[in-house]
Amino acid sequence: MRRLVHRAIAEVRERVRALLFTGRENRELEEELRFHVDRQIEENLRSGLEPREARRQAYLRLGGRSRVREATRDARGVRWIQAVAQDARYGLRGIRKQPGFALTLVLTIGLGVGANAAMFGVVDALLLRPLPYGEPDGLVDVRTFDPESGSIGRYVTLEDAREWTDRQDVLDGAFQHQRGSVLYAGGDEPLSIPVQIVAPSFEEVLRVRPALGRGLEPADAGVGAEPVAVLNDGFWRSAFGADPEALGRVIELDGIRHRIVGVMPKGFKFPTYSHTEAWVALRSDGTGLGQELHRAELTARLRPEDTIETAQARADALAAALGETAPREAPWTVRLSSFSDWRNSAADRSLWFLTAAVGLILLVAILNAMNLLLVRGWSRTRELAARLALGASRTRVIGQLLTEGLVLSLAGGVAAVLFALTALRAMQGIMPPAITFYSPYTVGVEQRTLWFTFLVACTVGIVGGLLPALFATRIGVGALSPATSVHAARTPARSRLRRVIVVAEMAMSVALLVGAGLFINSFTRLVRVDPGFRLEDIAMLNLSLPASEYEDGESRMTFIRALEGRLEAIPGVVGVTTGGGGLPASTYVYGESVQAEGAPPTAGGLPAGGIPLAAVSPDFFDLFDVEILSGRRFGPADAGTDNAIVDVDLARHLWGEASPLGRRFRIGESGNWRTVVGVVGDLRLLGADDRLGDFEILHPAGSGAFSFATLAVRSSGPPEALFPALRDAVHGLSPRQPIADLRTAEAEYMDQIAMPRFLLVLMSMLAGLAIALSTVGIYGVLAYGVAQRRYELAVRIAVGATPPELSRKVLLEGLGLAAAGSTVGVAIALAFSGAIRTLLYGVSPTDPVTIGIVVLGSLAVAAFACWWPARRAGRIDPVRMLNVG
Amino acid sequence: MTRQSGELLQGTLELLVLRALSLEPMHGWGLAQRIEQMSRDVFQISQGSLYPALQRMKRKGWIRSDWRTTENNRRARYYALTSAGALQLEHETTSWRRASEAVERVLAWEGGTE
Repeated sequence: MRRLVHRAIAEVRERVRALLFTGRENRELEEELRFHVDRQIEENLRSGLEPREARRQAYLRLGGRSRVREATRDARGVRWIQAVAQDARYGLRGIRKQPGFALTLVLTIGLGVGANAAMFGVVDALLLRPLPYGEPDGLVDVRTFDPESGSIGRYVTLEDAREWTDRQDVLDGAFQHQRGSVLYAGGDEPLSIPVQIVAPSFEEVLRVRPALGRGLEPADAGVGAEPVAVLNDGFWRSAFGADPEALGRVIELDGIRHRIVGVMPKGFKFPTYSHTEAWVALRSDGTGLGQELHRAELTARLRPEDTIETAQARADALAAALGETAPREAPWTVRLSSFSDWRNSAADRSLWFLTAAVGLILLVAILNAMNLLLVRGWSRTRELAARLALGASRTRVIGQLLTEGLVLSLAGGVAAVLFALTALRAMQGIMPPAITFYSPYTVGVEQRTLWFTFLVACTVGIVGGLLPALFATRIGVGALSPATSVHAARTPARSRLRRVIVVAEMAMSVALLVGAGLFINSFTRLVRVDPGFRLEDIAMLNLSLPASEYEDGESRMTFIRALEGRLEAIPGVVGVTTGGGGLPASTYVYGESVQAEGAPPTAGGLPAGGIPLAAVSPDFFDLFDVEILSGRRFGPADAGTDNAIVDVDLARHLWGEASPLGRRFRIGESGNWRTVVGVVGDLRLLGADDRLGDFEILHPAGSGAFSFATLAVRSSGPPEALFPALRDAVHGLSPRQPIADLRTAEAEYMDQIAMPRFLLVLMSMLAGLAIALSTVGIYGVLAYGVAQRRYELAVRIAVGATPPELSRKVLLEGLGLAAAGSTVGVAIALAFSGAIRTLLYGVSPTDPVTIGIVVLGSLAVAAFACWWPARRAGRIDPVRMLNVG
Repeated sequence: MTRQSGELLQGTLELLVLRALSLEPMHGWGLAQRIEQMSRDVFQISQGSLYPALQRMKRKGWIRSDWRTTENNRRARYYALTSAGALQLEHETTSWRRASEAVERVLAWEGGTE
């Protein structure tokens, strides 16, 4: 083995030396051979030969010096590398002579491949790269499953979880975890940071190790053990400046002193949570961060010999046994689901849609590269014919053309990486949380993306270069003759190929443009939707009210009232209202059904995400300009009651046209009965797209039980100007009160249309790129065609055709290609209409207006590209042209 | 100078070179001389095959080369055996011996089935 390694090293060293020092090696070989001959001559002289004869004999024995030289050089084993290097040098020289051509090609490939590299960066982080845990395929989430309703629950009670964790015959280890947020007041500003309360076995089950210090250990879970925390790499960097001395220090989380014992590796996160700053132990008595935890999520590892299916069978048996020892109301079973399911849920339709779109861009880029290389091959027909005639093999010439293409593609690859870096940075700003939330990695240009780019660029070079190379070398010696050179390149097959390429490019561009057009159309409709409340001039101040700072609901309420007073006193503030959090929806009620009193529950029409339930104060209606259609708004007396105000959609759903006032309803079969006291118009609490959920319920805030509050502040001017004053007011009242978020209501509302906006921006960029590339393609075909046919055109003019006629002919030819491409493009767009339907709001994927505008626009752009070659066709001077011929 | 031309089997030259170099480092000409002398002039080494073979063996890491001054004060490239080369020599010698014995047995065959 060692010998093999040594040999391989020696071999590589020799070859590298041979490559790098070709000149020196050759000189040394000459010297060596000269020495050899000299010694032979000496020897011959000594054996008594005449000097002349001695020399002759010596050279004779050497047996052809050049043959020895060649054979020795071949033995160095670097011949083919030198051939490739020579081709590359030759190619570079050719490229330097035509910088315009090279630049166009590099840009084409750079943009086309770059768009794909950026998209690959996203898809790779979200879906492709293995999860950052040891043997991630064996990880499953254990959920409760109600076979009657089919509903799946994320949480398991701690008693049940303990059974699952202890039973080694079903699973190879399991751990409970629960998310929470805590007050961290150790920094410049009090922060509410997300933490996870986990059973100490989590590192063992996930098979991850902390990067620094130790992880949580069973002893940390003991009652009375010193509280310890393992930090997230990012938090360690921001709060402690990545100081290794932070280990052993103490931080206060929700007022509880925790000793820092470790730091997790960079980028470590649970796939389920967007972000976690610290991990603390779930205690054996069922408490975490000093509070009792009742239930938690359960994550487990399958036994090595199990698949999900076989483990599920045993899990069913255990669930049945547990159900018997502790009888439950509903049939109780569990459902194992793979950890990677979280990832797939992130890959919603839009991601695949964009992937398909960048794939089209790549095709357009390849076609364009092909087109450019074809033109270049033809314009070099004579040069290549000469090389072939002089004895270069066809393979060698094809190899040379491919090498040239590859050199350009690699330059394009470098451009692509730069483009991808820029694109990803720009994309990160507008990437909707729906896409990034479940991603186990942050999106960026990683090593894998670079490899991908390299491979794709090479593929483009080879695929795009091979066909042109094959065509370009299919020439006879006849092409050398000046008389035939003009016509040599104009074989029908080649012209047809280029036309097909242009039609295909145009088709893909039009398909992408239709997509972009539909997204633009859909987005403008979304933005114009009346949300049912006024968003302008409102700042939203989100506060989390940590249990460690406020003893009970009353102390929270006192704080909120005092804060409202301070905020109202700020100049420029017109009004303040407090809700339970969010805009202005606070909680989502998850229910399988909604039921009017005296009627059977109905499950139909309920949104998947639950019905938003907003806790509002009496002044909510004035501040947000929400109109009461019937009944009354909330008054101070409603606080703490089960009175509700519903929107017209829910009222109609439950009671039809009858008046809902005074009637009762409930959500889910165990929900509180709520009494309707008022009806508001169509509110869009979940965002403009009402397919997310039609129903809205408002209930009175003021019980003070919430741990999260939103203060909406109406201003007389731009709300951003008030931000510093609002912050000061909070910290002036309570220096340890963290501000979770401070934004304008409009910004928060825009968040809910982040996905359509993201699609819109990306598709528009991609479509713009595609149409630019295909415009270059059309222009290239026509301009080249005119240049090729200048003799024919000159003859036509000479025999009486007028310049405008010729121009029109060229223009029509170009428009014909564009029209054919557009037709195919519309067909592609229609074929994809099923896939895009759910991504659109208020516009059909076959919307004739959008398609019509796109087709007309594309034809106009094509006409613009045809204009210059057409003009040139009309300006040919027959006298000069035919004289030359 | 009538000599029976010793046609070298493929790969034999490398074995001979290894063997000769196992005595001491030497330059190409000396190597050719030495092999001729060791084979009692049966093998005549053609430079056309010697130098490519040396290049090949260098690439395989069996021999290394450096420039030294000869006794006559001229610069010459000397070749020397590496440890990998010594191993290779051992290896090839064994297999050569086995092969040549086998060939000998075949040639000496006089019928019968033993």
